[in-house]
Amino acid sequence: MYGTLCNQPARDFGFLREAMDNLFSGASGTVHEFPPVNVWANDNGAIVQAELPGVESAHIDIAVVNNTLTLKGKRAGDELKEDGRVLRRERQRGEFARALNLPFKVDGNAVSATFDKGVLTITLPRAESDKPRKIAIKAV
Amino acid sequence: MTATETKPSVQNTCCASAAPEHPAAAKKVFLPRADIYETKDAVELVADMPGVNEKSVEITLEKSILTLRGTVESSAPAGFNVAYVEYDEGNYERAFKVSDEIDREGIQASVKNGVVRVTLRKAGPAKVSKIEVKAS
Repeated sequence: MYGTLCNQPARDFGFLREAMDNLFSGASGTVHEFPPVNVWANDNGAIVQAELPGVESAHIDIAVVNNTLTLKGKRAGDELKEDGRVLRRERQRGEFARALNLPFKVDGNAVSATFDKGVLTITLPRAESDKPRKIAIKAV
Repeated sequence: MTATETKPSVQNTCCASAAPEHPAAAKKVFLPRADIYETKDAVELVADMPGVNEKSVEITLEKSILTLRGTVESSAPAGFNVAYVEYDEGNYERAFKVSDEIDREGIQASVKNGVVRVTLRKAGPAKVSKIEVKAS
């Protein structure tokens, strides 16, 4: 799977390999979802980044319920002009939806998001009630 | 216009050594996905380069090779650890061969939301110059 990362001679077949990998993704467990996301975390929360090139920020719908982040939206394709024809079409288009389960409860009111250069960054602070509490031991 | 390396959305498990722990630790070069449309008087090239803006993209035309290059700065947030990785950050580079019918002076480009658009106008029909053959 994804030999393109380590196999230099196979580079020219990158797209073909990807198509093949997608074809068999069900069997291997490799899921090829749009948009790809990266998650960063610390004790106080998480930051989720997603690559959404060409998507308008108005078309991105972010929702948080308890510890689940849902990302929905639409990536509009280019309208083909009247006399136009397609020579190459590699970019994905259409609707997308993803749900991510976070290992903690999110403070829904404090979630913020920015969209810059086609990269979405969502800051998800951990709910105060979910943070570990230190219990003092009383002397008897 | 041959495709080489695409941006894999999922890390390879077979070569874990090649996959950096930190998504921005190694600068990889990715081949951006591209669409090409042709109309009667222009060719439009659209390439996905998330993380790139007008300052970090470079488009050059040398002889008949049009090259797009994009530089991506690490967006790793300070004070956070990597929890889950589906994509790598890296630079972009892809070259396209431009046909002779393109007007080399009339190439325009723009970047919006990490998508680069290059419009290549077609030049008028090339003039055929006839060379007279003299009898010697």
